[in-house]
Amino acid sequence: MTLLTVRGLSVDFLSGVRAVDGLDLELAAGRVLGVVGESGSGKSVTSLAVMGLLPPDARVTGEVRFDGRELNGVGQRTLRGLRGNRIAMIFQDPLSCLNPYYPVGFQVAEAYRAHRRAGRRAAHRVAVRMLERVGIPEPERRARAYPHEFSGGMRQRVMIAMALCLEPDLLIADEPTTALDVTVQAQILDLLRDLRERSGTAIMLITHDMGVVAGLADDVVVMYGGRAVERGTVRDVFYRPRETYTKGLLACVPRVDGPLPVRLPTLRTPVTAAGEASEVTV
Amino acid sequence: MILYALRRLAAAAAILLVICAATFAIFYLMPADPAQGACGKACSPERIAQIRATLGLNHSVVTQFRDYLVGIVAGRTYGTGAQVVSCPFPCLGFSFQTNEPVWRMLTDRLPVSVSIAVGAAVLWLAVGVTAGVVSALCRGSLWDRAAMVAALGGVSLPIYFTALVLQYLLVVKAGLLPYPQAVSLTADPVGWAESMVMPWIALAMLYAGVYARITRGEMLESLGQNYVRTARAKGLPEPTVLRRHALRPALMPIVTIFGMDLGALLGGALITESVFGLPGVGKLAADAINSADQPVILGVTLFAAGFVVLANVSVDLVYAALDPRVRAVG
Amino acid sequence: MTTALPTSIPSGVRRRAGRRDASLLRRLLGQPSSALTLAVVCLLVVAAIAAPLITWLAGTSPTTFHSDAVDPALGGLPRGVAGGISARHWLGVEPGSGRDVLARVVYGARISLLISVLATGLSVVLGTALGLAAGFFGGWVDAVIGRLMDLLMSFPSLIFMIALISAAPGVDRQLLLVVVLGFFGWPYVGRLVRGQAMVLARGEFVAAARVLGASRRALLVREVLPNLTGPVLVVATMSIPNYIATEAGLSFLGIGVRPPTPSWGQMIASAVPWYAADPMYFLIPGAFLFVTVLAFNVLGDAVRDALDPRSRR
Repeated sequence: MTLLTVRGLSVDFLSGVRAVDGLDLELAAGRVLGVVGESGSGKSVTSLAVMGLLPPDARVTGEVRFDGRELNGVGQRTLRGLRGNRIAMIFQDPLSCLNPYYPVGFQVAEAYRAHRRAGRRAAHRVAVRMLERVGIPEPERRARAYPHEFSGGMRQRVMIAMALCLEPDLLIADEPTTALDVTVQAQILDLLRDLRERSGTAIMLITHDMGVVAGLADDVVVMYGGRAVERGTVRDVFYRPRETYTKGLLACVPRVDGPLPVRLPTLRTPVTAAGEASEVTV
Repeated sequence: MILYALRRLAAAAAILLVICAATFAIFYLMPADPAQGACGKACSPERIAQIRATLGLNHSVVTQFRDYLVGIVAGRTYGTGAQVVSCPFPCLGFSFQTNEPVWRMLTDRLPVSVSIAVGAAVLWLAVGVTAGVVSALCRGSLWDRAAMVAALGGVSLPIYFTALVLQYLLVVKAGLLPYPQAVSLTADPVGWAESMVMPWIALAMLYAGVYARITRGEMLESLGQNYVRTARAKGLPEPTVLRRHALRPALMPIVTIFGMDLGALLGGALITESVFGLPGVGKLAADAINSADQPVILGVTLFAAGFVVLANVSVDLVYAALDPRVRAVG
Repeated sequence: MTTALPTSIPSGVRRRAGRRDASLLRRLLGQPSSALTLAVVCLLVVAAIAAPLITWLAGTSPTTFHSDAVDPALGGLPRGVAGGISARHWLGVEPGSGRDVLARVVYGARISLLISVLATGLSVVLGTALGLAAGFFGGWVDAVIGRLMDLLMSFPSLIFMIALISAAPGVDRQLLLVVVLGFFGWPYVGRLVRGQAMVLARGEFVAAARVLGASRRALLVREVLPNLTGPVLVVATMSIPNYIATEAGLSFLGIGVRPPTPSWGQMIASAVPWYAADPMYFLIPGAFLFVTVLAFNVLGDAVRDALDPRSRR
């Protein structure tokens, strides 16, 4: 069953930049869709468009259907009921995404309380349980600590706990491992894989790193200049890439099993106007 | 935290000592003769010599400064024999023009200054912060532009000019308020409020402009933070997002500035009190300047410096209590 | 009162030195609001410089008493309407003495602008030199200068200035005002310059110059200093209105320039006993003061925005 369907999605900014240009996506319940592309290819804007979190100067056209319901153009009230509840999101830089003035336990509980009629204590208990589930040691004590007292990987675990505490149907993970060390990246990917197997949450995994996609995704969409240039199962795209762009993207990933190149290839595709909509707009 | 507080207090005491020494040095190294000042214009040389002896002006600067410091912590007496004058703890000097210890003059005037400062602060915080927040939320709108022009105007208003315009309009033309005068809060609350309205408005117009500008900037800054986006992604209601995740961080710098401004005002709103003729600490300073009553000027300077330094410490401590990152370091 | 100096300048103000001045002027003129402000500021400066010419044209002087222009029967109120505004006295006359208000206002503008510009110059020179030393050399130099700046900024400066000025009766007031204002103002420049210099001293192009064998002095003069002009220009523009307001405030309290030299604050102070009967006498110098401070405040904002497009909000 299809959980998320995106049809002909375009996002224009007042500045005249078209960040997403007629994009189609499909994500079935419980599946993991990797959305890959270089910076500025429109992948982050797509995810924010799904969440309805784009700044007011963005104009979104096209269809975004979640669980059979159209989301584009509906009121903030409806979107708010879905956000954090049925669609959750985690971001690239977990330090700046956590409010420095509140303990992490409070911030996790806040997500829970926004959608469930729960008292402070009950929500706190949920938060502690979630922190434990994402692998934070001594969750009872750490729930009272502040974001600056955590390491990068632990902060991302907190973000994941926050996103998953209401057992959403869809998790949008926007570059969840980019800001982290390589070993921590692997841990977070393991955690996501594990959580997905246990809860059956569908994941829309946004990344520029083909390696991350290979480790977690079932299907892949390759984006370039706001459009999908290639799509298919991970297997298809990795072993039989049809587009030169995808081949180039794949060649950028260093391989442990291949010969060591002197220098990794650099992408030299011409950048279109749409491609210039960098992450600044997000 | 306690250690941090103690360290800050020690630093504050050191700053006060330096201010004390600097102020003292100015008065005793400058050409003006404090004995002449204490005695008035028509004064015989014998009388001046007598006052010099009473004030201890014949001692070295260092001795005088030591006596002054001792006076602050333990009280002191001036002169000897029949003409002894006692100045109890904390002795910030003795005015021979009014025959009163400076400390008593200061504490007598303090309630007026506090009334002015606190009332105005409530007003400007309410107006300035609200206007700034609303401006930030409707950035670029007509309201935003109008509010920011008004704020810049408020910032540019000289307080005595505002004061005169207010008095002319509200008292002379409209007859809404009586001429401002000193009224005790306990004896006549309505009269007190009437006498305070104009100073409050005059000060608040200036400060509300400053605060609206700062609040707007801070609010725009915090609205752009990633954690505000996270809060929205969690599905929090927009008022909660704004209050908890945008306003709370934006208020942190405002706490700092507010503490400093309030501290400065508590030590006497010099111009405001003078122009409205309200007998606060600032008016005392202005009068002392006009009558060249040096012990009073020195005392007011230290008194006001005390408030500023105290405000500094309080701000640091409040900041540490509010910001978990500072708290951890402290 | 006048504590609203900017606490920080966005780092984006720091740019490569170059044809900035020309482009800054062009950008200021491009915006209607800042172009208008610039015009007002220029007008004020011209009026101040041309004060003798203006009074000559108007046929008055700031110190001449016109007893015929005031009515002794009314306690010295100006004859005629609106504070004695007439063909002879374009902005009316001072109650009591009958001195010409226009002449006193334009001569007052001289004092106001002269003192604030000189005080700004002094604080910029002191602040840049000391801030640069602190930021560039670090170590104990930084510690000493940093402490000094902290100390000066926690002084209750208005009251302290008053104490200082009132304790020095024989000294030239205008000079004293410049020195005192500049002395209490430099830490605001110094703190900014120190921060910028610290960043710049670690910047890549300074490192590059160092690698190329440039001396410390050459580094300071050729690499760091030119990159400070932007932020310093902003803080200087923003401090002028503060100094104007403070000077006027001190004059209002009777410790600014000595009469008969006219100054706006002093004019407003002398208008206090007359405010109910002759409101024009405080409205005119007050309006000039307000417009001047406002114009410089707007200009300060405009210069900041022009040098740092990111801060335009």
